[in-house]
Amino acid sequence: MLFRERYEHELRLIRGSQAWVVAGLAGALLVALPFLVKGYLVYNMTLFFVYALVALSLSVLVGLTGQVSLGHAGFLAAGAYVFVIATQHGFPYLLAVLAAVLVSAALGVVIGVPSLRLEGPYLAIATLGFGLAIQQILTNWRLVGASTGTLVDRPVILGIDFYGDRAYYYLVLVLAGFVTWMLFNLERSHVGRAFRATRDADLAAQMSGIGLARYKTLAFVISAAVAGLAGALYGPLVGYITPEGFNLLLSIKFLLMTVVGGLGFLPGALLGAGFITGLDLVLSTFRSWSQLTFGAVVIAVMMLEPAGLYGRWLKIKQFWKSWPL
Amino acid sequence: MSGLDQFVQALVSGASIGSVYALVALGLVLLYRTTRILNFAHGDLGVAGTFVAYTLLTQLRLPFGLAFPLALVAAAAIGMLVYLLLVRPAKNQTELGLLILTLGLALALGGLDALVFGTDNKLVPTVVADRILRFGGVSLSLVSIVTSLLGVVLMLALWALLSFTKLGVAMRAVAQREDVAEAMGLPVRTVLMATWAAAAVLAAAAALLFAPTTLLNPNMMLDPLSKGFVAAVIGGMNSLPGAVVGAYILGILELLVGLYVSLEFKASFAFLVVVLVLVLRPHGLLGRADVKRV
Repeated sequence: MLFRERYEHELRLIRGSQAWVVAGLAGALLVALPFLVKGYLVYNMTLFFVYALVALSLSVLVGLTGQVSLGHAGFLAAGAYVFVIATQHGFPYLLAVLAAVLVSAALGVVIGVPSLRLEGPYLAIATLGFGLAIQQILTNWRLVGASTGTLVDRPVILGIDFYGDRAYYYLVLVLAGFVTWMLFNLERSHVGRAFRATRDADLAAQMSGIGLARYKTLAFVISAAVAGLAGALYGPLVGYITPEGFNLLLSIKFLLMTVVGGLGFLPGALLGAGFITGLDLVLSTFRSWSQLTFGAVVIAVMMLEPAGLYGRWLKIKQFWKSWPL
Repeated sequence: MSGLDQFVQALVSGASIGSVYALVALGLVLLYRTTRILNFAHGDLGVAGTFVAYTLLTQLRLPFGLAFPLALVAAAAIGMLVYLLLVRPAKNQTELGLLILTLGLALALGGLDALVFGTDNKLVPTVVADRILRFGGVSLSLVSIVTSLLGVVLMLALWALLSFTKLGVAMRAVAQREDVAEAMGLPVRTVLMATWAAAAVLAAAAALLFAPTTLLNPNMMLDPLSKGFVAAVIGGMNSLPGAVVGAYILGILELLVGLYVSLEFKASFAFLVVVLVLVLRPHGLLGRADVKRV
């Protein structure tokens, strides 16, 4: 089916029997993966899930509403540190995660409301400043270990110990998978359509009864909350967090994920996160060449395919389906 | 040191670092208002020029008066190449796409510098042998005075270029309306190439002047670049005088905050200022809002 003919069809998350087969196989593969590959790959897959969450959150903000953020590592850091503080105060795991999400969402309001008046380069620099400011505040805050950082333990929930890489993989898979599903649903709801309307023509959207202030702030809040959740998952994964780890380069990498994957497509963010995380992993063996190669790949994607990897995939798919037209 | 001396000292040192910020911010604004590109590779373009100067000074043992202009020429060439080989042929010509392109370029250039020259800190020879001059309780380093003066000279040169030459007028015309400029028969491509060259020269000059205060390494320009962005945004991204004003305000305020409030939060203070300014004036102090026609 090349074109969507009915609204029910548009609403469906998985369209057509082929897609069901692919989704089923992908799901089965993700569940079976820890028993198929070596330990360090399980760790990196978990890292990919966490990065994919941030890339998705950024995709909602940049791709759907067209607001740039160069400071998403700040939200990730906020989530990770709130999670640490909450667990130190004896919060149970899920409450600590919830606290991380809520604080990060609150930060999203703090950044989102002033940024209503900003656009383009001004917003980019303001969010860049937010990321750097968070990093510097954490560097100088002794309660959370200042620049030396702090240890993060993996959780024990209802007597089940998630210390092992495999066990933690499943925990992250469930939480990240659930949020990914919610975000994909959000994109197809009236909220997602409102987001895209504000991106494409804010004045026209306003004329159609979409409250710009409300939806732009909402996008920031959702994005910050998801990035905060990613932070709460990231801390226990790496085991030791330092402010230095949440630097500008990380924020840039998140933006690269969404754009290289395909701006405006949520599956593109997943693809981009996989691509960048994989590239990082492959390049980590050639240390001195890694930064140059990384930059060159990014330049190549931007020069050759504006719609990103997912956009290219859509073109191939359409060509295949409509062939020989 | 008395309180007044400390205050004057902060003002003078702030003005000195402000000139570096101003050169960075001018380059960013020059490019942004003509091409709508937020150039994150600006710092790395400057560092590349500084590495050229470093090679000329230490390997070929050229005098400073020769190495400095040659490095600026090399930077201009790099800037033109970036425009011709990367920016013009890029298929993704959206504002965000080009921003990402410059991010990729920044990573690639930084990686290249690290590969060729290594990541260790290098001492760059200075224009004059450094001496500390004392005026009452205020002490000034000779290098920082010369740096500030050179910065001001370069700013004046840019002003003269834009105001009194045909190329400058063409640059301003392209910045205002690219399509009309093209219709009037201006060679837009050449003008854009010249803009890239001029921006790269400003970047290299800023890096060359900044190198003696820190040490030369591939990440040297990270802090001045982010401060340059802040200065440009405070002043307004499409106003060249705004960039200079923003840079000096930022340089001086930073040192005053370090002196009277808290040394630790000196660096994050810049971003507090930017948020405050943007909340009150979303298009900077001297910038003008883009008029959107519907």
